[in-house]
Amino acid sequence: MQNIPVAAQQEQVNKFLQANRALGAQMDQQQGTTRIIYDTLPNSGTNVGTSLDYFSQVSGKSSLLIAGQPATNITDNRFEPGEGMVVKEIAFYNMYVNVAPGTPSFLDSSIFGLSLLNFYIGNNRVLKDLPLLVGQTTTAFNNINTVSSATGNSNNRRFLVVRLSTNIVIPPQVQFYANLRLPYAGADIDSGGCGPLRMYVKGYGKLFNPRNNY
Amino acid sequence: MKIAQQIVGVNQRLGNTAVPNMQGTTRAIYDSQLLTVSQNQTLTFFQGVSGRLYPFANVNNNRFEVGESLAITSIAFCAAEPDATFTDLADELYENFATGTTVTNTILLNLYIGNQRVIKDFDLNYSRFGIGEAYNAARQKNVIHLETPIVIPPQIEFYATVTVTSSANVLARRFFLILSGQGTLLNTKSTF
Repeated sequence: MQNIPVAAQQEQVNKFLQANRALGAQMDQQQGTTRIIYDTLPNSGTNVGTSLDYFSQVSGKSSLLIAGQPATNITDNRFEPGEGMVVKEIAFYNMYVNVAPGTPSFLDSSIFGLSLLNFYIGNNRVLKDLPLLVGQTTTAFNNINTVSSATGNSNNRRFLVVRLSTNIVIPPQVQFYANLRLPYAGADIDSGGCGPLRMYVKGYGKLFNPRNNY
Repeated sequence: MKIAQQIVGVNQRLGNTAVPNMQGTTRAIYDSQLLTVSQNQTLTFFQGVSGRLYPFANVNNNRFEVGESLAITSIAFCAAEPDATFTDLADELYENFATGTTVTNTILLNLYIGNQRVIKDFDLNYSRFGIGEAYNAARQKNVIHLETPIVIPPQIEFYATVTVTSSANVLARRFFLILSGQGTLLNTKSTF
């Protein structure tokens, strides 16, 4: 495996602190943590499209259920003062509910890999047209997906992860969002077995802690 | 030498002194070409890419914009299924290049940056044997990690040729060449 989380973590910490110092946010004393944030888009019915915006409209969505699950785990697309994170992994999850005769499409082997991801932080584009091919099991440069299974409904084929080779810092109070451009038309999404698409962002982070550290 | 240092060093020698202030990123560019017949053929990637619209390529020019660059650390090669329309999510991207799974074809890559050949007759098939440090043969079948990063500076033309030097068992289908690694994006003020 190419991933060495312990070694990678120190790089993430250093860049996180350095970027925040440059912005005037001294965060050395805050609580270190690992953060996973996500947003889900329905991606079905009238909500289909070839361009999906994640995190830009999360306000009020945490109580919204999509496929029976909370649509997001954040309340705003910017972190509170004293909080922030480093984007290290980006994942997509096909939440298609397996009802006959359909089966979920395979994110890690289909032309879903030709989808282009753009990530914006504070009006700066920090990822530009990154093809999700780099997270598919056969063409990933830093693959952390499990080996694909032939089982149609298996979770590891619903899932696609890209582990970035650089650390991207989301400072506190700066807006962020992502855009995913799909290569296929919306009408093919339902028939192709792609239900609500959830986007995960994972990495090292800081939580606000006014007095001490654990 | 760190990859970021190599990007900065190459750009500074070319007079691009602002590159250290650009946005560091993870970058991957790809282009695709159709192998029209099931026989030997040389495909040229990235040259004339402006005529291949998305999803057949994710760049619209074979040179980067001002402030952008890429240090190639890995190269991947894959093929779409023969009847792929690229409009249906059921279309698959395969690692198999040949009709027989036990037969592998010699696939020679040449990469040119600014009229210089920086990769010479490099057999992309090597990765399919699962050879190499810590690489799992069951994964990353079509990825080769380079021993040294190759920097594509901004504003310099680049292209690649892939020669499928084998027999009739090569499938006529669309092939994708993916160059990925660390890069820079134009950032006029600050960096995250």
